[in-house]
Amino acid sequence: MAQDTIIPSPDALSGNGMAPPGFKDGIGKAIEIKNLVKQYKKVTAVNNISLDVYEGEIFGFLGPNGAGKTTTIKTLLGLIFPTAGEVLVLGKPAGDIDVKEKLSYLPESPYFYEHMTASEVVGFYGSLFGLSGTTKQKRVDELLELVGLQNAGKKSLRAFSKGMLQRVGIAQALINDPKVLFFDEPTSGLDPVAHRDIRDLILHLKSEGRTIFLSSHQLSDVELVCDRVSILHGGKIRRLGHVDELIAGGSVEVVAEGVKATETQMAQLRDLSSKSELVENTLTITTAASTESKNRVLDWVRAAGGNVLSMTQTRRTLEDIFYEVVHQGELETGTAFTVPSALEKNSMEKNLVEKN
Amino acid sequence: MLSSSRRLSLLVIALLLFIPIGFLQTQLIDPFYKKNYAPPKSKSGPSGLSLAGSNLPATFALGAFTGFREAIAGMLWVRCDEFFHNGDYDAIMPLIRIITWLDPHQIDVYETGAWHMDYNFTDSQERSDRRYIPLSVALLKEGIDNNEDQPDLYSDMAFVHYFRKIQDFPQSRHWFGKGWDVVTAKAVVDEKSDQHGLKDQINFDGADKGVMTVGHGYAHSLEFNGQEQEAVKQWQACLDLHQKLIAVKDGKDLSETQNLEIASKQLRELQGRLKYRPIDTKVPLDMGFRPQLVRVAPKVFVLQGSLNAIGAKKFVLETGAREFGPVDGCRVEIRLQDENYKLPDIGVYGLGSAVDPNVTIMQDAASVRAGKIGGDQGRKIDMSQDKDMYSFKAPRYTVTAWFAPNNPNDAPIQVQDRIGWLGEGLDPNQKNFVQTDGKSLLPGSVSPVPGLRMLAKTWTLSREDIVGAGKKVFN
Amino acid sequence: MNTIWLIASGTFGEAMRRKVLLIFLFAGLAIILMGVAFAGLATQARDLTVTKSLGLGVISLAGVFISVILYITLIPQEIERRTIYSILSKPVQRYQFLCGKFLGGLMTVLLNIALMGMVFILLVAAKQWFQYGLNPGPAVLAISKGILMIFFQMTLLGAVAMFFSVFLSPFVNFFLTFAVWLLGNASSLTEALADPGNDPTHPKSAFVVGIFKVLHVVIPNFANYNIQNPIINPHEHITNEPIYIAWNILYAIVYTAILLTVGSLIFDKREV
Repeated sequence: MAQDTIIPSPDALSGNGMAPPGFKDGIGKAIEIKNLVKQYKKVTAVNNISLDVYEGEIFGFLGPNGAGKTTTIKTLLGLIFPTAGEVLVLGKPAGDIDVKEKLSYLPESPYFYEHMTASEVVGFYGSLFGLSGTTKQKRVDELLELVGLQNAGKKSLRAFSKGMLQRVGIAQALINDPKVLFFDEPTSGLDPVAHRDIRDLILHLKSEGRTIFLSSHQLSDVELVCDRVSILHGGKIRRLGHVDELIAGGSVEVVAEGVKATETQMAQLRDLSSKSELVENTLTITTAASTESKNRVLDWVRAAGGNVLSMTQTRRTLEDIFYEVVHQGELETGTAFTVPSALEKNSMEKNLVEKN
Repeated sequence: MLSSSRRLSLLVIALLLFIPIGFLQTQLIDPFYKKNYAPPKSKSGPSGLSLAGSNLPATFALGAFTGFREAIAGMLWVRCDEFFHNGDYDAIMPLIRIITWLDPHQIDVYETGAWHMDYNFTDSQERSDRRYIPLSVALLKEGIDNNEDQPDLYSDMAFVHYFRKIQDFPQSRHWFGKGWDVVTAKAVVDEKSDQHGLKDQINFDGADKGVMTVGHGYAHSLEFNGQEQEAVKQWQACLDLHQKLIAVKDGKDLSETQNLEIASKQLRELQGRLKYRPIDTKVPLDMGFRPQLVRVAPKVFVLQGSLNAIGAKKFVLETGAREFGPVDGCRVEIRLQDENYKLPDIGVYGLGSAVDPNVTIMQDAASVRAGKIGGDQGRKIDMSQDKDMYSFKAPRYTVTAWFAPNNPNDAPIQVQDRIGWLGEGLDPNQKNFVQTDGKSLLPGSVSPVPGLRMLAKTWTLSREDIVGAGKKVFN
Repeated sequence: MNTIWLIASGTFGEAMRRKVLLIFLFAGLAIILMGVAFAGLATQARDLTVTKSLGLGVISLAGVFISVILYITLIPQEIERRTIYSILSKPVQRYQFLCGKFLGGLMTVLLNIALMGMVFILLVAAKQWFQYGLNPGPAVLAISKGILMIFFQMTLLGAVAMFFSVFLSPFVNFFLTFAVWLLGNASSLTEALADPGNDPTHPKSAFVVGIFKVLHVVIPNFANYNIQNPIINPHEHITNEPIYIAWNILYAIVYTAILLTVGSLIFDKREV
């Protein structure tokens, strides 16, 4: 399966070839991350990553919990400081006060001062950008309409649902007409309607030509809206590229019954497949779509005394790639993940299940 | 993030700000705070509460309660009242110590505390326990130290304690004199404050009340020490101040006018007496003072005998019309104490200050009716009921019965009209006459009044004389 | 300045709704009411003494709890709720954020103290006027001075708590700030220790005296602000008291400036 995926080297990642069509080298880079390392006392949260995000693209920043996503975003915002390496936003060091005029950040599950109304909160953030009077109010009203809160503007945030708060969060993030937006899990925990609305809103923002740095677990969303994605695991970038390139190739699902595998055979299976699932007597094995992979799986099923019931070729999804990365991480380290504890592994699995 | 040079300069500026902080703290704030707000340093000696003798201020121990110092003091004081009503006097002593320590400016604690000690800890016949007197004096002295400009405490010390209780008239005059200095100093301030339109402040400063309580008292105390001319001057000084205060108050305070009237009446009377007493005391008077002490049971005595008082039955100051004859209203004092007892000076009122349980002092007074001390029955003095107060541990006791012409309680004013302020009219040849010659009748307990002539009889009793059974007469 | 003011007003609105602070406010008001109504005391002078001391003491203590609990959590709570991210990702300097938070907290403390103070003053004035027939003017003026001093004491205490909150957890900060408060209240102790003394038989080491001198200056002095004794005993007169009060206000302002400057320097490097 190695040939089906791109395992980038740091040099390759910043290369011209990775830019979406129409971008020129060195021009229009909204975000530049050069050999970023963030070391906490015992943990290397971000381990030498390099990345460019171009103006006008939606960049998906994926990875399980503890992969280093939020750490990277916080570094880009100047909330925390790099141990080594350099981060530039719009060509200036992260945290620069001029740059902050042109960017915005939507934290995961944002909390706002509950004593304010939606209109007041958005206005409050507007004032931080020096907006005032009718200009501010006009902009606030526009934004509340954009996020669908035009009728709830006078309500105290205490009465707001999570989805409504997220809409307020997006409205406040747009108050300064930002060039670069950092969205951290903008759709997590939302009901389906709010989820779809926000996804549509992100596409709308993209159409306005803004750069969006989107960190998410919602792989289907990312697949739908992002131009390029990177998959982070254990503080390192494992995959980076255009969504279309990454999901090219697809996979094959082999369903078999009556398999009686030994311990050794089970170990072999983990090498052969990206995923295997045993439900009662039926074993479902997912593997790369190459002929070699398919044959090896079929051989294995026979060796284990099973009968093949079906074999289906599927288009690969980001989820598959995500699993590959996680799986590869296990192989590399001999444990589940580099950073997370068992607890975080569970929560990661929960997130993956949540998607369905 | 700020640049490192900017950070450094900000840090330097912040640290340099400690220079004005240090200046404010040590040069301006500390001295002012110490003078005006800090609780007094513990002055306690060996018997008192000392923090390992370190003389540390009370704040050290009470840092946590700084905001509640006075409230705690006030509540403890209420508790004191309960203890007093339950008769648990020993519990009151340390509480008063703590209260005045917490709130040194709560002057009614000194006043009431000392008053309790002097008057209200009594035996079953309502005679006060005089062993508390050194404590009350020490407490009031501390009160005055902590509130030097409060006239009330001086008049308390002078009148309630040295005059009425201890009958030490020179000491009474001393404290009135000090109080008067405070009042006159305040009166100057008051005139200034009047210029600034701060008339209300006079009422709060207590200078006006002080003219009455201290000023009038001082004049009386001069009289009781045989200093009539000084007393006249004092009354005149009081009149001056009353008039000033009336002017400042624009006649809004009627009591000030009344005070003025009292002072001028006192002055008129004193001047009248100065005119007639030198004449009326010329003929020596034998008052026939024959006190007799009778033991009727163990520790139970009767004071009886005779004292024939002559006084002005009628006296019109304006015309000088007056008529003398036998009068009632005199009083004979009696005191029993361990031989050679002296009033101790405990110096500082401490947490451990308490009475000496081995000392016995009894003082009483018998009024004279129809020439008989204590009337027909005599004055019964029962010391058998209060073993704590009258422990009779000493082998010998001095008992003194006396009549002091300068004490208005012993010699009412109409009697003084016949015998004078210091007993000038007493016949020196009569029985039991004492020319004090600068020596006190109770050496070590009261100060001598120069020139005082009095009537007195002293017995020395053994312990057996007191605790023995059966009737025994001491002449 | 506009940014600081914006953050301050947001903080104020949020802080005034904190239940724990309201508990102290209402407890304070309740004790003041009870104290004023406390009629079982023997004399007028003592009744007024206990009322005034209790009232000022309660305002001071409630003020301590309100400002300590408020200020130890202002910054950590912003981090915990992640509001700080949406604010610091806007064009807001960190010192502006810190000063705004401090100012907002101060407005909260001021309002709490003013509420308690006004109720207390009204009650004392009513008691003086209706129960004892005294002119309440001087007492009201004196108590107002005491409350003013309590407020500036809380300003300084709040600055201490906020300074520590920049790098300490609320739990540790709570105890540390209280320790500093107690130590600052025992300033006469450090002053006594810093006094070289004039007893030639027990000379003090110059080094030790020097250390205590520095300590005496560096420890924020809270005892300075306890001026209730003359307020409670109105016969006590202090000359030049307004100047003393002005010195202490200046002291609080300068010391707060030091704490906020150094706090900002630390906060500027802090990862949130």
